[in-house]
Amino acid sequence: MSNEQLRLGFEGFELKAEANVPDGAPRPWDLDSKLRVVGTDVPRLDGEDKVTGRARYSYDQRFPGMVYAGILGSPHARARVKALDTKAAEQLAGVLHLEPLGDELYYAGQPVVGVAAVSEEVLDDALAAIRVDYEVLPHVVDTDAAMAPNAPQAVPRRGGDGNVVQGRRDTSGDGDAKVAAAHAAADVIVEREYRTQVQTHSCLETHGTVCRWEGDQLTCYASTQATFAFQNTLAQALKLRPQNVTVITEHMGGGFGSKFGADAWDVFCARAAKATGRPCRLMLTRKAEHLIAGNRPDSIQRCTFSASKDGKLLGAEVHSWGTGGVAPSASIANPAVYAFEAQLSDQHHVLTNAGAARAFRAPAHPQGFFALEGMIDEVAKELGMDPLELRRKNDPHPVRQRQYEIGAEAIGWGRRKADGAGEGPLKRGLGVAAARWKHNGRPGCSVRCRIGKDGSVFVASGAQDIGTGTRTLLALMVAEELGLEPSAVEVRIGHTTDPYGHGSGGSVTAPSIGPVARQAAYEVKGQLLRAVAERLGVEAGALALEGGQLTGTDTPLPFAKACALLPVDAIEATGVGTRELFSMPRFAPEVAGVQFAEVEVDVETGLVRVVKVVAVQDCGLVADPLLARSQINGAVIQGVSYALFEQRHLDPKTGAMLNPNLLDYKIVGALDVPEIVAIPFSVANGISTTGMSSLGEPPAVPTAGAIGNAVANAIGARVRSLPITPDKVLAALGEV
Amino acid sequence: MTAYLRPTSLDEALALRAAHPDYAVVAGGTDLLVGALERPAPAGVLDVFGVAELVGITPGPREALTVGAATPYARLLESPRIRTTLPMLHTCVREIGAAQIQARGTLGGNAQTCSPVGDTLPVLLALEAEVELANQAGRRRLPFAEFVTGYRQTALAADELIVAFHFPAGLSRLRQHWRKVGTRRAQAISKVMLAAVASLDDGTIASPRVAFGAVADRPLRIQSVEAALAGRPPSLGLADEAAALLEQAITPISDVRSSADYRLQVAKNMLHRWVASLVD
Repeated sequence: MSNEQLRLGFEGFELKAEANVPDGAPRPWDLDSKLRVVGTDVPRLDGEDKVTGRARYSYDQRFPGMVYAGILGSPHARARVKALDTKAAEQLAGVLHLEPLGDELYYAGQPVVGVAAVSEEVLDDALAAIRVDYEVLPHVVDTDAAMAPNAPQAVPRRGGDGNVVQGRRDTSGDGDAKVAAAHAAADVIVEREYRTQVQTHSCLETHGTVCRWEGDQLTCYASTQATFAFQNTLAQALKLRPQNVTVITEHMGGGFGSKFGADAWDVFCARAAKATGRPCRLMLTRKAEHLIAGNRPDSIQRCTFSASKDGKLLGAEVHSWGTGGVAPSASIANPAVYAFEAQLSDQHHVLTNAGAARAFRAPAHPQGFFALEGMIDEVAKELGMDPLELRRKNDPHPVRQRQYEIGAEAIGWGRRKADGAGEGPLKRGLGVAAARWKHNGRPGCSVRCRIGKDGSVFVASGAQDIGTGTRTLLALMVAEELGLEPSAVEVRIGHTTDPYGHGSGGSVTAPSIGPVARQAAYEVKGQLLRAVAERLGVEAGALALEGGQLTGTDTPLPFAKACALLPVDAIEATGVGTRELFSMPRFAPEVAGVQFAEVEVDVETGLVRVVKVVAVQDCGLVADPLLARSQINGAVIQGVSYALFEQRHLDPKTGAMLNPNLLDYKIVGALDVPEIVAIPFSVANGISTTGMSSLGEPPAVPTAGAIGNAVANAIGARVRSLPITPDKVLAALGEV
Repeated sequence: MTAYLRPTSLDEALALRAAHPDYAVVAGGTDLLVGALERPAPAGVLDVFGVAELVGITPGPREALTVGAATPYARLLESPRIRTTLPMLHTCVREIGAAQIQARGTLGGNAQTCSPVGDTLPVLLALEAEVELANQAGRRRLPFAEFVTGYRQTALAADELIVAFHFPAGLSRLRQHWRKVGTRRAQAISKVMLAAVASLDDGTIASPRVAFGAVADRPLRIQSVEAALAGRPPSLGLADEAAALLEQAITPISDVRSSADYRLQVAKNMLHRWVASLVD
């Protein structure tokens, strides 16, 4: 261990901290670090492959003799299979494998039968030829209906009846009394109900895998955001050792939290490949993707917020209900961020007969923050205070304090008119909301780095790229350490035969593998410098790698020439993500962000156009501003989509989804995407030897809240329910 | 298996149509193919997309225009004549789908499907287009308003094909107004559509024609509103009156795209704004 003084923070707010740096690790990056490629715009290394179609996704894998598998899903929200007649299907020419997958059915789309056939056409015919006699049972798909006393039990549950399951119930102090006392002392109390809708992940590449056996060795080309979890869960289901399953995910078309382990259909695909003795592909249909592959739960949030007349937030009390379908997983992040004197969050999960919710980009947050940030604006309105001023007064995070200033200037907050003051029929409004996330870099990953005698540099991580740019980031870390350009580093990701990497959940990937990749490069650099020093008869400590050269010798040697001095064909090091690498002091406990939205609302049609979003986002050290902006852009676009368009419609009578497609399940289109001013805000945060933190999720947190507030400012009436559709806008205006 | 026929001439197409009246007639396929997996397969498909006699934009006297039933929207968008003579059709078509759909979609296909949310249908009504139909025995022409007979119902006989649309002379003198309200700004099925034309004659409204889509079981001309507007000077009061009359004339429904109340209110607002816009 050695002690290093680090200079942390950002311009205008710095502090010094002492870090314990483990032996054999590099000095952590901080404000004093002179970085060469880290911090510059490096285009995604596989960007060209992606836009030209060269990148091969699971969906693109084709093997000679490959068969196509699919599933027949339940048409009913709750049913039991009385009889199954698969004879006609099995007799179709080209149907190679068929097996029942379930008979107690709790949601529409739940797999009933799996089929594998020689072509997609035969597969479709076979699925259509299966006759199932269902006993249709009472169901409930609507959150409010499921909460009613006599509602059908959606799924059996342990330890109680009814569909309402108590979730997290926590308070900041010693219970409800403290919140009641805070409210009692307040000058202003606002009580409102907010609602958010179910959003499906709608990954452009649906869930699935292509499985191929060679003897007892199974290779899966999986569309997953967690190669090792996929390997592990699939091995478990098939009673194999994990090393008998290789998962390969070089590119994947979106996960957003819905693609961790192997699903039942993946297991079926592996079994079908085994049974037919042929490679087998199973990718979900778009309909199944909506029904069974995950969603963000809806929410009903009854909020009571209070404040003193000088703008000190006092009490925040939130009672929430939401449905994650058959999964009790409707948590919300509300209250949060602001320094209330007392807060209470009392949450409930409501069981319904719909596909289970899964983690979805910043789980619990966009829904929680839509209500939280709406409430803050409503309190500000009661106080007659500027909503930005109220936030600044109650927000303890030093980074957000600065971000409010940057964002306010970029959006032109000074232009903001009184609520509803525009002349119309097109009215403009401005709104603001905050973002938070944890620093989610974690120990446990490894990365391997190899330098060849020919000067080639290769880095490998078994982790996947959920879309954030993992490949590029690995190259960037190694290039910085070796004094090379990122394009000189060859990267392989997404093969479970390479060193372990975490699943991409919680925005852990970059902050977890970044320090480890740097460590691997640092160690292999040490080997190189020692070998070269020995060969040249100089001190290794005098040598360095910079600008593509070995320096510290009489005349600098090009990197490849230095490598040619190696006594072996290649040297290699595996960086290990020890706890010590991640035990550096922290500048701030959380990731901070703010977003400002400008909208234009047509008060005659209720149409909302998001004109501009300014997103100022901290992610610790910004390793690649171009990639960071890309993440922020994506999060804002998804946020606009959530705020204005996306909505799953379930028919209460039949339990069927009425829009299980992308025709009527509308996702934001290119013309609806606002001007996005993405401002990555770099903070020397400590945390690890690279100081990088989480980015994929935090900018997805505030967008809907900021838009909701901007709409209220534009029209002088508030829509407290997502999505903010034109009919709700007109209803808020009292027109319908 | 579904039979698939692809005639190369109109005569051949009409012969096949007579022989297979139960086959689905397809132009670009933008409706049939999108729904192919969800709906029962038709007995067969008669694809007229490549039939040369059904494609083209032909000028007539005094700016009259004939548009072949299977002319892709993309051709209409490229046509300076369409832009200057039928600007409302141009605007309407530009907002349909995206480039891929515009390359395949046709007026004939939109008319034959005759969905209440067919985008071009209110335009055909407001411009008083005539539709020309043919079978092996001959041809007939009827006003588009008479062609539409109900929810996805038309006057097309089982042995007939839509051949062309005839737009009357003098349309470029009219103020043409098209507005579509959809879920998002492109590639969205309409919630409400308004196609309205009129001219101003010495400060009074002349030849008003007002057509709405997505507010009833079929695209509709609103004659009560037209009668109220004709011969009167535009004013905000007249706009109020028109909106009130509209309420009596339409019966929108609620579905996954919108609610009946919303459609009614927005249809009134759209009409109101148009009439108000005639006040110079």
